[in-house]
Amino acid sequence: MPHTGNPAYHDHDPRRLEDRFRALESEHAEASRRVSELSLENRRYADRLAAAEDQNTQLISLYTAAQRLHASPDRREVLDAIQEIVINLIGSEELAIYERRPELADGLRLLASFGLSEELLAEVAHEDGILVRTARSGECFVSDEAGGGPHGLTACVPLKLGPEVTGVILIFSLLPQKAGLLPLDRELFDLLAHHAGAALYLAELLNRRAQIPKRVTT
Amino acid sequence: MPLAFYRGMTASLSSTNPARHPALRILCVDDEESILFSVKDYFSGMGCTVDTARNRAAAQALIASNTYDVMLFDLRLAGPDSNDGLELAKFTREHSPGSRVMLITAYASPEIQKQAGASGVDRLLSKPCDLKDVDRNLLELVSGAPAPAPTESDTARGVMKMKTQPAAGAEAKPRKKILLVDDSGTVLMMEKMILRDTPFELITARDGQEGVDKAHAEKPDLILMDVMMPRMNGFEALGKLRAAQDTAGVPVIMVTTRAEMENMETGYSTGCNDYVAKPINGLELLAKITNLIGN
Repeated sequence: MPHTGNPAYHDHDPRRLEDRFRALESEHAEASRRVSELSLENRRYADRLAAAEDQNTQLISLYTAAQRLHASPDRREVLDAIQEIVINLIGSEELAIYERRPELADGLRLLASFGLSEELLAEVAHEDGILVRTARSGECFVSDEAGGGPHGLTACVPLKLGPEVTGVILIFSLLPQKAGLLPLDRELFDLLAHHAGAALYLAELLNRRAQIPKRVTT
Repeated sequence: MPLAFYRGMTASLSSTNPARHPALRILCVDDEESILFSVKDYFSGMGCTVDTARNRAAAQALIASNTYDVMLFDLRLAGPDSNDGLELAKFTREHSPGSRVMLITAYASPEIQKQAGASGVDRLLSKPCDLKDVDRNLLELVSGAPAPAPTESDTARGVMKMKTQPAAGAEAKPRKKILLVDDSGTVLMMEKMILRDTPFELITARDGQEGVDKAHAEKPDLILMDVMMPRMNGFEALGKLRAAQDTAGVPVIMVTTRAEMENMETGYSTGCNDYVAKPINGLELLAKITNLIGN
């Protein structure tokens, strides 16, 4: 028995030993109860921390997306950033980006695509379906089920400059490890709608400005 | 790391060998009762006398009326913007200059480290940290010599994994390095943001070849590797790393959209240590990094 300096350990009176034993038992029960309470409290804190970390990741995704869209005035790089956001932050490797061109027969021009066949793109572009409706209305289409829309469409995101629709992003099937869209994905759609549209428009303006001759000759 | 801090916080009620430990008088100040309970339980079992306080006023009252060998202060007692731990350190220097002060905080930024030094803190520990390591640092402080190594019979108490601020004059430990390899600027930015509050030094590479070159040059402690990259993909780069003596043992986590079973099997058979599927979950990534190289 460890030496603690407690006189009770050296007293051989059975009654005193028994009293001491009961006191220790009671102390142990109280400590056990307290330990259980703290366990529960710790689990609650762990859950809260996990929720906070999850929200932190969401904010990081939104911040990263916004930063990347406005990081470069080059149109090609803006298009690459849109693709990277859809692939890496939303989680789809099947997308197409269209620009609105009213002078064209279809009213839309394909700017970039990833993971899609030409046949599918041709089908989607020539139908008076969601793509055209989104371009006209400016309303984002999101399928109830991932890939559940026409031609396996998950979302159709209008690119906007103020109230005007300047283009559309089509997002088809999600990555296999992604069961469905999350609230964060809808926020990313919203961010793309406003920031990608503005970034592309600005890049286009800068591109046109660069092409204007430096000296005007009459 | 965050989850580990709360796992197993209930300290064992049994004491380890108190004969190994000097009977110190310790003051622990933290607003979290669970932490105070764990610290008191652990160090009481070591034969120490432990007083606790949950706010600055109570701590100052104890410091003014007692003599402590060591004081353990949380940094933020009164809210996310408070620096009570630093104020207590200054108070200790005025009223109890012989006491050693350890600041334990989750907010160990370079600015806080600077302020800690100026406030008279002897050692700064980052939360989460292990109670055994707190003990080891505490013994180093009071004795001025490295603490004896823990015996095999010692059981782990608490789960506060630790990063220490070395004592003044001691050689600073280099930070662990993580090499981020991805051709996507978006992913690199995400990873840097997720890891920005960690103590790791971050290096980046934009394709597999650059990743291999930087791995040889920088000797990282861990590599986060994308799979689909130009010039050299992640599997090829991983193969080269495993074939070279100086990089064969570096842990590699594949971070990729390609999370199908066959790709994962290829990754593991090539020698990766773990897999994270995109879109990246920050908590999952941090947990896997901690699992491989700690914090």
